[in-house]
Amino acid sequence: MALTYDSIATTTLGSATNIVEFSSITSSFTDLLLVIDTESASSTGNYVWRVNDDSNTSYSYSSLTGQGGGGNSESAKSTNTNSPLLNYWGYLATTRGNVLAHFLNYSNTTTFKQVISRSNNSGNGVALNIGLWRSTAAINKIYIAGSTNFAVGSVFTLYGIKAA
Amino acid sequence: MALTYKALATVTVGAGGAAGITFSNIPAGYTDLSIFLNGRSTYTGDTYRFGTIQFNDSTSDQSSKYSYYDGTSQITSAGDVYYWTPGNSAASNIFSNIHVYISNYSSNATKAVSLDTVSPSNTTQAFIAILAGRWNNTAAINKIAFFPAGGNWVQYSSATLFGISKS
Repeated sequence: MALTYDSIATTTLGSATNIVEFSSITSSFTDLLLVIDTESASSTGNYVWRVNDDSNTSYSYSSLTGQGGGGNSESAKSTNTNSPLLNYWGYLATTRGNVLAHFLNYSNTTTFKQVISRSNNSGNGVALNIGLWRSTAAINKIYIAGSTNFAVGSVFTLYGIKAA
Repeated sequence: MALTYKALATVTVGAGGAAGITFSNIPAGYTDLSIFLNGRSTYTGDTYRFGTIQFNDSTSDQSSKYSYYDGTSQITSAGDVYYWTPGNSAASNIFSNIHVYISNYSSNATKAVSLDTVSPSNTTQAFIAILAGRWNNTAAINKIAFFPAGGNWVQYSSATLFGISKS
């Protein structure tokens, strides 16, 4: 019996790298949940996401954020970018953070694709992000690129969620 | 076939209330933990009141950055890993929905926490918060307890702990 919530693929980094990819993603689920648990191997960085090897300006995003402790709460947006943020405040060395990113209705071929993510870094800030990929193609690949290497032991897991 | 997403325990507060909602003896065999809590406290001060979380009986080594809107102002600040619940002066029958996600909870790395609190209301005193938290301890988490500051949990407050396996 197919599971409603199933792990599709997972990567635990045995060596520091700044690129993680999930390829050949099955179309048999309804939504995807990408969970990232990581910190930087060196210095503060940020990471972006792309799908299906599309590096064109096909993306946009909006964010509600809080930096805390005298920092700002912000709303931010970017349109027609090829570098949509997955974690608004980025990631730090020696400060574990996580991202929960929902790719909604990812395998349909009718609508543009949306991702809602919560990004968390207690050293930098908290954010709620909405991203848009302006394509009706089904998502079959997710690419995450950091501006610095993700540390050894970082965990990236892709889950599938199936509607009734 | 082993489940990827499994309910491990549910706590429901009975008549008379409870000081805390606690999950003990959490098995180490999962990757992440997800907790959904629906609760209200007996606190008689502010309409909404923060609560604290103990990891392995400790409130030490916590940090967070958060932002919330209480129907009047947006506040951004830093502190421990908090959540918020309506207190005794909030409109009747209003409970908070709180989601806590702890990634890699049994690893030997420090623990990242994603926490969202929402408390809808038909008045201007609805509440919503997002929090980025961390337990700066490399021990595996085997116990989690939720305590509302300055009060107890009311009857019918409840929480379910889920374990999520990456493989």
